[in-house]
Amino acid sequence: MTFRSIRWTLSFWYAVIIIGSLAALGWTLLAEMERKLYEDADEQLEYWLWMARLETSKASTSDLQQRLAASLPRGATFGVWNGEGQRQTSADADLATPRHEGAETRGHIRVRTKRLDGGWWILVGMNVEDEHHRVRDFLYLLLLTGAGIVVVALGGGWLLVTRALAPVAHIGATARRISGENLGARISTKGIKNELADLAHTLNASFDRLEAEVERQARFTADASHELRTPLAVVLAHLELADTRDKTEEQLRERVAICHEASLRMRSVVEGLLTLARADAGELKLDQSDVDLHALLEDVRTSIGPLAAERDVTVEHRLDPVTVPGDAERLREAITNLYTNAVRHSDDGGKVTITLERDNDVAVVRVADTGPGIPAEHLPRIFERFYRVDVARTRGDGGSGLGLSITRRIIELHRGVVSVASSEGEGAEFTVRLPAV
Amino acid sequence: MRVLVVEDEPHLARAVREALEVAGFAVDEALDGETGLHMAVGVDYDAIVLDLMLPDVSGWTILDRLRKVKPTPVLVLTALDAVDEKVRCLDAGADDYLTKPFEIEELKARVRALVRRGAGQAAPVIDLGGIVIDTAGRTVKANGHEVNLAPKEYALLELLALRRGTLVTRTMIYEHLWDEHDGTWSNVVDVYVSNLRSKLGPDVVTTRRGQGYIIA
Repeated sequence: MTFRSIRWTLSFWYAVIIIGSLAALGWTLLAEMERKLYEDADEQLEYWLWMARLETSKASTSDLQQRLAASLPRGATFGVWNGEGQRQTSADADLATPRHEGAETRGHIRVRTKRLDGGWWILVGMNVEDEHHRVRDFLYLLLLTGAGIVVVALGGGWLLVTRALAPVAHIGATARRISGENLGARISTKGIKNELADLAHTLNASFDRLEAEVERQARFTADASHELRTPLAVVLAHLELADTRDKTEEQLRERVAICHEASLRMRSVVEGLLTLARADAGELKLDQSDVDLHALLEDVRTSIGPLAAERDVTVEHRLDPVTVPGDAERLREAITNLYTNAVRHSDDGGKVTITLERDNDVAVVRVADTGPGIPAEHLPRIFERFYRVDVARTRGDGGSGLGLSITRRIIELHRGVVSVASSEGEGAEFTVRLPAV
Repeated sequence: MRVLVVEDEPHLARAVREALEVAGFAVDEALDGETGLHMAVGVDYDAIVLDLMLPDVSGWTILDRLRKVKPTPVLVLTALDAVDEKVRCLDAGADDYLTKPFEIEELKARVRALVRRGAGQAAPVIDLGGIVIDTAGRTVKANGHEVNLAPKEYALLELLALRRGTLVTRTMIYEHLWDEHDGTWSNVVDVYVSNLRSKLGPDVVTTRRGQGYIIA
């Protein structure tokens, strides 16, 4: 533990505040007590002064000493000086000539001085040693109780801070346990009921997101690895077999066809991954121009004509003329993926319907198929990379498993959105909304 | 020896099947997990080649379910080469693994080794006393001279030799030497046994009438 820790900092300032407050209180009490004592003494001295003045004002100064000693209480200090500063009488031989009127404390003697007509000075004084002792005793008492209060308060404060900070140590220990290999640990919020519980919940939520993200990454890596290594394994195995097993040209041709197909699949996966990686890195540049969506959709329909014919799928267009700003090539890629998906997922003899219309400032493209539809549990993840609803059905059809991810990225780069609606058995409908010109 | 290949990529499954057939194995193919699980549990294979990433029932599930009922040796095909993954599949009950892409020769050698060890025979060469079987090269020598055997004759000899001292029934022979597509249910086994006797000597295989065959 360092001295810059919260515990030490809190305790330090707590001590400063407590000691400061107690010192101020003690000083005020002492000053007030002293003032009160002198006030009482000064009142007494005022009376003595009056009596001394009375004696001094009588004509003769010869027996002033005796008269003053008689009229003032025993032990009182007094002194009288004439206009020339000569001492007339005094109870104390070495009293200095007063210079100004008022009250002051000389050692344990409280004195008052008064100037009379003709430059005469009178001084009276009383011993306040007892009062001084009382003030000192009170000071000792204050110091003693003050020290007691400080010890109790600091000890208690230290305990409170320690208790309040205990969850922080727990949170820290848990957070340290969490690493790339072990993302499952969570901070227990049992017994924490203050703001630290909120902190713990916030951290736990962060850990949840982190764990989900790491899992997603791991799944993606595993999927990408599988999607690339499997066709590579096909190529390698068949080349080896062609070398060792095949005898006829027909057999060899078949091997070549298999290797070709696997290579095409690898190419489509690699290209898809590159496109997505560029998009993730923000390096997918859009070649901006005004794109006539109507013409683009007609183009796409022509290009997927052979695939549709092979599957005996009808592609029906209901298009309004709409123009959007964007990159024609990228948009073609995005839309082609939707067409290809729709045709692939239609049953033989099925129908794909595409509508294009303008909804205020938005171009809306809908691609609907009459296929088996997408089960509800798959809908939220359909745009994830390599996510396949029915792997057995779609593998080997040339799809990379990345088409929808790429489509979504391209549409998002055009500040549009793509969504999907489907119920099992009733086909699927993908909707693209793009800002129109 | 009969091997099951569970692989959802049809071209890869085909390559593995052809390679193993060249190596003298009878091979069954399952192109999805459910079929694979069904066959793996239902038939006594000498080894199973299992892809982990299957669309429906994953390889992990098949491994788990198979291990509850059978000790069939399993060679796992995985696309992941991380150590974690390898440890995980061995710990899940796999006997060996191969990372895609793999060399056909390595696959064959690993399957041969699995089959041998599955029969409790670690050495690649089996010596029956005078008759020496080299399971790696699939060759047989009798008294130091190489004997030319037909593939099925060799397979029958190897099957009986690997189970030396125990009775092998006709049903077991059919199960281990022919795949599901061969409809050979005649007295073909008797023919191969008599071929072995004529090539390797009359005492090489003993017949237990009505029960099966044994190499003592």
